Amino acid sequence: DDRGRSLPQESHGEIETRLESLICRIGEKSTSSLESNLEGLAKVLKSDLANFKDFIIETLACAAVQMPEKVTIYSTLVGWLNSKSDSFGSEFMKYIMADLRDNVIACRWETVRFMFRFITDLSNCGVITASTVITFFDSFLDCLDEENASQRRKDALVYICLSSLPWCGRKLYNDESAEVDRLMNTMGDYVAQRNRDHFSLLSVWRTEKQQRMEDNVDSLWSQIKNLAKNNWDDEGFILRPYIGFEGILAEAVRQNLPRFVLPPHEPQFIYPKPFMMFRLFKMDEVGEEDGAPLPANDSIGRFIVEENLTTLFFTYYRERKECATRLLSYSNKSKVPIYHMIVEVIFSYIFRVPTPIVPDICFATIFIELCKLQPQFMPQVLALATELIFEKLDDLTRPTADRFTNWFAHHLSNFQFRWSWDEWADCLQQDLESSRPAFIREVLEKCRRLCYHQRINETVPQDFEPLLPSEPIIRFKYKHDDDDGMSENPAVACSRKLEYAIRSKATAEEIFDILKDVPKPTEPDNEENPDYNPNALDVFLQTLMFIASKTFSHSFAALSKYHIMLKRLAKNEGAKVKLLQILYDMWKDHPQMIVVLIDKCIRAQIVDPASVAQWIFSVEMSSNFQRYFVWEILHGTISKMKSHVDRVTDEYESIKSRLHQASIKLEEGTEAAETQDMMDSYAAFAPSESEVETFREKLENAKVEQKNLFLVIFQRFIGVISEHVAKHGLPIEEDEMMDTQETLVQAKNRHWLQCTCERLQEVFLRNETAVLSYDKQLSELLFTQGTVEPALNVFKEFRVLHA
Amino acid sequence: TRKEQDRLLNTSSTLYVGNLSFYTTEEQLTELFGKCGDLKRVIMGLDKVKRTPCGFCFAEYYNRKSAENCLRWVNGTRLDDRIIRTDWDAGFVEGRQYGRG
Repeated sequence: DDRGRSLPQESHGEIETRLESLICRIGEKSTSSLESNLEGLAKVLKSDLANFKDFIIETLACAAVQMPEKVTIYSTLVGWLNSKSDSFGSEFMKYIMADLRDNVIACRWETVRFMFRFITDLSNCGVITASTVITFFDSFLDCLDEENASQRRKDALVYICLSSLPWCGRKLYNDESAEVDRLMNTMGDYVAQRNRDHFSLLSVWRTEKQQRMEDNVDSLWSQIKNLAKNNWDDEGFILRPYIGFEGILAEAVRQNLPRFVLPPHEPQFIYPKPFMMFRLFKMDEVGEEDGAPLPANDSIGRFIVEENLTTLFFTYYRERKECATRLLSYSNKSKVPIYHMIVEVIFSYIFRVPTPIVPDICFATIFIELCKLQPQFMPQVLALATELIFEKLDDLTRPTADRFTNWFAHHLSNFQFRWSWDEWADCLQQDLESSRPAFIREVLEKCRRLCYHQRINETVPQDFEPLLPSEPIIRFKYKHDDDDGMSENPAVACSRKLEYAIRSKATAEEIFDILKDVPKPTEPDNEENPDYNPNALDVFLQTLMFIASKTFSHSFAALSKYHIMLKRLAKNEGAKVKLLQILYDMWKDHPQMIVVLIDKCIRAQIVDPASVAQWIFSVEMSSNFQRYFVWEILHGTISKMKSHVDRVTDEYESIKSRLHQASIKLEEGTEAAETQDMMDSYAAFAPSESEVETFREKLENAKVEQKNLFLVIFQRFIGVISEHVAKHGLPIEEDEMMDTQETLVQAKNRHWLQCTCERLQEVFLRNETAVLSYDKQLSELLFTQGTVEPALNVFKEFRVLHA
Repeated sequence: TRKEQDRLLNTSSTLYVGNLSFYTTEEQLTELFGKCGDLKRVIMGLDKVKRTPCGFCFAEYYNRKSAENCLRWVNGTRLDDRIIRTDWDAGFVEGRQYGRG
C-alpha cells in the first residue's frame, strides 16, 4: 500500500510487477470489503491504462484462468474498466478471443474451459449481451453436427459449455429464455445418446451398489438440469461482486464478440480423458454437528464446491501447508460439511484411474497437514472415510484397494500406527484371501516396511496373527554350522568353497572353476544353451546373496560386483526366470527386498523386463499372484522399460538434430565462404552418419524390447485366465441349490478372476500410448475370437474407450 | 568454491536427511523415499568410530524432480516417530558418511 505517494523513480518493469501483484492478490484476505478493494484496484488500473493497456489486458485474462475460483472478481474488473473506457473493452475482447483460439488449437482444454466461463460471465458485467453469449455457445456446440467427430471431442466441448452455465445461466435465462431452452435441448439430446460402455473400465467400484456409475459429463449434466429447474439459482455458492456495481455496469457500452469459428479436429488433437465421479459420503452419514448438510450429488452446490476444492488443491499442492490452509479456509466452507468434502475430493484423486495426477505421497502428506491444522475434526472425518471404504472393500477394484493400502499404511506411520484394529477383527472369520483380510495383510506388510517387524507385531491385537507379515529373514538353502567341518552334502561343501572364494575376492575364473564341478540336473538338456547349469546358478547366487544379506547396500554391491558373472550364468530367458525364482525363494519373507533386488537386476541388465513378466506369471508364483509386491514389481518393470525407451529416443533425437545443425552450418559456411578452419571445426563437431545409425539401431532395439514385454504380459494374462476358466468355469451366480461349500468355492473363483481382470485393465490403462501402437498385433494375434471371454472383454472395452 | 557449490546444489538429485533415529534402517528409508520417485541409493551416515548409524543419511535419486518431490512431501513428516529433515546436498562423496557420532 503506497498511500498515494508518488514514486517517480519507479521503472516500467517495476510498475508492471506492482500491477501484476495487485491483480493477483485481489480477493485475498483483507481488512476492508471486497467491493472497496475492487473499486480501488479498478481506479489504479484505469490510471495506468494509457501506458499499460496491453499488459493489464493480458494479466487480467491470465489471472482469471490461473485462479478460476476468483473469476467473477476479474469479470467485474473488466466490466468496470469497460464502463470507463470503450476501447479497453473492445481490445480486451479481441485479445481474449484470439487467446482462446490458440488454446483450443493447443488442446489446453482446462484453460479453454476457464476462459469460456470468464468470457460468458462478462455478460453479467455489462460487457457483452446475452444474445452474443448464445451465439458463442453455438459456435462450440457446432461440433455436435460435425461428421465423424469422436465422443471425446464432443464431450470436451459440451463439458466446457455446461460448466459455464452456473455463472451465466441466470442472465441468459432472463434475457433469452427461449434460446437457453434450445441450448439445453441440444446438449440434453447429445448426453442422452452418449456411449457408456467404458464406464466399468474406469470405475473404482465394481458394481452400482455404492454409487450410480456416472462420469463427469453425465454428472454435470444432471446438476445443470437441476439448476435450470431451480430457475438458475446458484443457492449463493457463487460470489457475484458485480451486483454491487450494477449501476455503473448497466450504462457501459456492450462489446461485439468477434465471431468464433471452432477449429476443426486435427489428427494431433488430444481431448481430455473421461473420468468417473467418486462419491463416498451419503447425505445421512453426515451429522448435524458437521455443519451444513451435504449438497446432493446432482446439485449445483456439489459441482461448484468440488471444482473449487480441486482448483485450490492443484494450485497449492506443491506447498503442502499452504494447500491445507487454503482448503480449510475455502470461502464456501460454512455452506457445506467442509471436512467431509475435502476428504472426499482428495480420495477421488488418490483413486483416479489409471494413475493419480500427482505422486501418491502428496495426498498423504496433505492429509497429515490437514489433521495437524484441524485436529478436532479432520482425523475423525478421515477415520470415518477409512471405515466406509473398508466396509465397501468387496466392491472396490483391486488396483484401487492397493492405492488405499498404500495411503493408509503411510498415514498410520505418521500417527504411531494407532488404529482401532479391534473393530476390524470380525473379518478374520472370512476367507483370508477375500478383500478385507487381504487388505489388512497388505497394510501390515506396508507398515512393516515403514518401521520394523516387532513394532507391527506389538501394534495389532493377537487374533490378527494370521495376517501378520513373517519376520523378514533370509532363507539360505546351503546353510551349515561352522563347527561341523566339511559337510557330507557336496552342494553345501561347494557353497562353503564359494563363500571362502567370494570373501577372499577370488577372480571370476576361480569361481567358475569351483562351479564347473556342480552336477547338472538329470532333466533333459537345455538345447538353447548347453552351458546352462541351474544348480550352479543356484549355489552361486544363494551363497552370494547370503554373504551380502546384512543390508540393501551390501546386496546391491554384491550384485554390481558380480553382474558379469551372473549374466554368464543366466544367459537365456529360462535361466533368467530361474535367477528371479532363486531371489524369491531366499527372500520370500521380505517382499521389499525382492522388489529392490529385481530393480537392480533390471538396471544392471542381469535380467530383462520380459523375463520378469514371465516369472510373475509362472506357476511358482501363482500363490502370490494377487499380492501387492508382485504388481509393484510388474509396474516398476514396465516403467523402467518406458524410461529406457524415452532416454534412447532423446539421445537419438539429439544426435540427429546435431547432424542436421552441422549440415546447415556447412552449407551456410560454403555460401558465406568461411575459412577452411571454421569449416573443419564444424565438421569435427558433427556426428557421423554411422554414429546416428548406431543410435537409431539402439532405439529400434529398445522399442522391440518394449513391445515384446507387453506382448509377453498380455499373452501370459490370457494364459492364466484361460487356465483358470478351464479349471473352474466362468463364474456363475449363486443359487439356492448350492451348498455352503460350493458357494464359498464359487466366491473364491469369482474373486480371483475379477481381481485378475482388473489387473489386466490396469496394465492397459496405465500404458495407453504404448499399447495403442500395438493395436494391430493385439487384435490379430492375441485378443482374437477364440480368446477366453473375460480377457477379450477387457480388450474390447479398452478399444471402445479410444474409439 | 562458493559458486561451484551453488551450481552443484542447483543441479543435485541428492538430499541430506537429518534427525533420524539411530535405529532407523536403510530399508525404512528406501520405503519412504521411494515414494517420491526412482531412488538410486541410500547412504547411511555412520559413527566414525563405531561404524553404526548415527542419525543421518544421504538419499540419491535418479533425477532431480524426485528429489524435489521429497523436499516437498517428506521433509518434516515422521519416520520412526521422529520428524525428519531433508535438504539439498551437493552430492555424495565417499567418506562423507562418517559423522561425528
